[in-house]
Amino acid sequence: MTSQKPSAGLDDAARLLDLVPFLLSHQGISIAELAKKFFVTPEEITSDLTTLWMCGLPGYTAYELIDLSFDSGFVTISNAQTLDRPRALERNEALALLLGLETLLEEISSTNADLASSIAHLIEKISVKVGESAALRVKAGSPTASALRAKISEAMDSRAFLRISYHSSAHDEIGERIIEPLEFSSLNEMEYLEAFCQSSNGFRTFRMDRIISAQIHHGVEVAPKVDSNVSEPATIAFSLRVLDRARDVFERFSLNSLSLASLESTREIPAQSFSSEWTLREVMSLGGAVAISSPESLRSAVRDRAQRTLAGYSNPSY
Amino acid sequence: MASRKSERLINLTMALLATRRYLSKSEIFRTVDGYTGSDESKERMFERDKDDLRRIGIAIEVRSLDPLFEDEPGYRIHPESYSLELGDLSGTEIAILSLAAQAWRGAALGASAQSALVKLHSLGIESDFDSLPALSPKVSVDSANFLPLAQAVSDRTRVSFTYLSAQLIQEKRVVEPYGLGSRKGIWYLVGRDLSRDAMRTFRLARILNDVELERASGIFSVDLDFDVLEFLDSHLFVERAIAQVRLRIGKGHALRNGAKILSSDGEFDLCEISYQSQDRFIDQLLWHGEDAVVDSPQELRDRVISKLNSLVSAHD
Repeated sequence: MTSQKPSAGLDDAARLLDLVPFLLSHQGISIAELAKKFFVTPEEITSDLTTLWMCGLPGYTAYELIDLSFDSGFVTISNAQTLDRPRALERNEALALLLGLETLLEEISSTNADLASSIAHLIEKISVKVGESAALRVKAGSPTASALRAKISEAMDSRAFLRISYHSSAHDEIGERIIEPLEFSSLNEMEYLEAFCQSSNGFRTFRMDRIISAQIHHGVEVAPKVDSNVSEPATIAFSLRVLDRARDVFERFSLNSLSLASLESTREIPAQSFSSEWTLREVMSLGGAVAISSPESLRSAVRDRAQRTLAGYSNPSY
Repeated sequence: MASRKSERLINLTMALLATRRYLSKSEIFRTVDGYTGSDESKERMFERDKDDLRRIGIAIEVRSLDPLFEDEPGYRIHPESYSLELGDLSGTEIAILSLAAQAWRGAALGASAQSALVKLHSLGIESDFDSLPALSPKVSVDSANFLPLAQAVSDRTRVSFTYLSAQLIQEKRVVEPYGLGSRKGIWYLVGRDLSRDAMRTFRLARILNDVELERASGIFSVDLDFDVLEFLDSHLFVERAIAQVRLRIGKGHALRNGAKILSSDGEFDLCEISYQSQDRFIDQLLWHGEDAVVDSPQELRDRVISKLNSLVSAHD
């Protein structure tokens, strides 16, 4: 891990060193493919190859120089000399692999013992490269829905539809929907799936941890043309009075710094959401730390629900 | 200009890898292509090149060539320290490592994961994905502070940052970072908060600025067996208690996960639910409104009732 700014050309040098062993194991690869593998343009790769062609061992005759051919657009290499082995992993690279492996292990350990032991074995090997017991001190421990994500990715790649079973939190209901998955996104450390939802004929965002199952859908429904009928969830505006737990309020209602300023002056902040049911439940869950000031309909809805809930407590517990 | 420089770096690396004995500077300047100009400028170039190679992870070994005259150092690169040594790897293992690298798509260590993958693929071992189930893991790290904090943890460097307190006050914290870990998709920094002289846990998402690393490293010590996830489990989720809650039939899906149904009266299921933090559990119960009623423990029941009363009076 380097903290100082590397000098110009250092990234290039690192890439040149990594190109040689990669080419040795991928003889005949096209310049375009190579550029993609190294995340640079074909022009940069061509310039890299031109530079490499001048490099070699002291003496610098044809015997000592690295020999490359790439006129045809396909690259072959010989005489790689001392650069024939890939370089050791840098600390960040080892750390990336280690955390990726830990995430993987977390997900499969209960279902596939053989695979789990292979992963554990690799974790041991890579930990040594991270060194200094740092391996124990930077750790990913989040179970994520790997098999689910793989199924959704498969549908995206083949442009297939999915039938999902989804827990709608605002309504506390589990329902089936037919969706066309578009892309994954993340916000506030939560992972989401953006999709076109046939069931509601609109673009919808689904929280990954609430998708209970997903199957490739082989039905014959054709996606309706995206036109003016496509529904966008409407936003509702409301105003909150913050009495306590300001950070929780701030985070749960995804407030911005603008509302932070008005919070400091008046404790009153404007907010919006896509669902009044969701807003109602968020306010309930904050248990009196926040109150709806307007609209009146939402304000009385919170009061009614709190009173109905209290009624459930009027019977002695049994 | 940049390509002349990288050309020289490659030539230097190749020469230092090829030699079995330590090369003196004058030998290097005489034989390695690219060192030109006055003696002084060659020296400067070489010092710079050594630092640059170290920065991309290539260790140049230095040893005195003549035990009697210590001012004549020699240089070489050990092939074993230069190259990737992970022992024998099977096609399945390469495939597993590829999945691990792909878990970083778009996240903090994405570029490092990709360059690691290029190195692994350079070993010339065919990946064997057929033996693996279809998996697509994902490490979720949004914070730009992840990488500097990981560095600070591993170098044992003090860090300072602005943190959002529960009262929404921006506080300056100076921390000796012990570890970085995630639970339920949320990343935490664990360390000794110097102003409070106590261990504290910080959510990365609540760090408001770019963390600053102090220069000195290795200035505090961490127990060798310190395990960040164990720490998080024992400090973040300490309460671990069991409640009996009546859940309306067909409702309370999030609460039913892992719950045990004890009995049912046609309208409600009486469920046994275990929870880790009472505060968070109360938030969750209130979210469900009249679909969730606590029977026991009494203390939990009382706290919920009191919060419901506050809700009513706040909305009167």
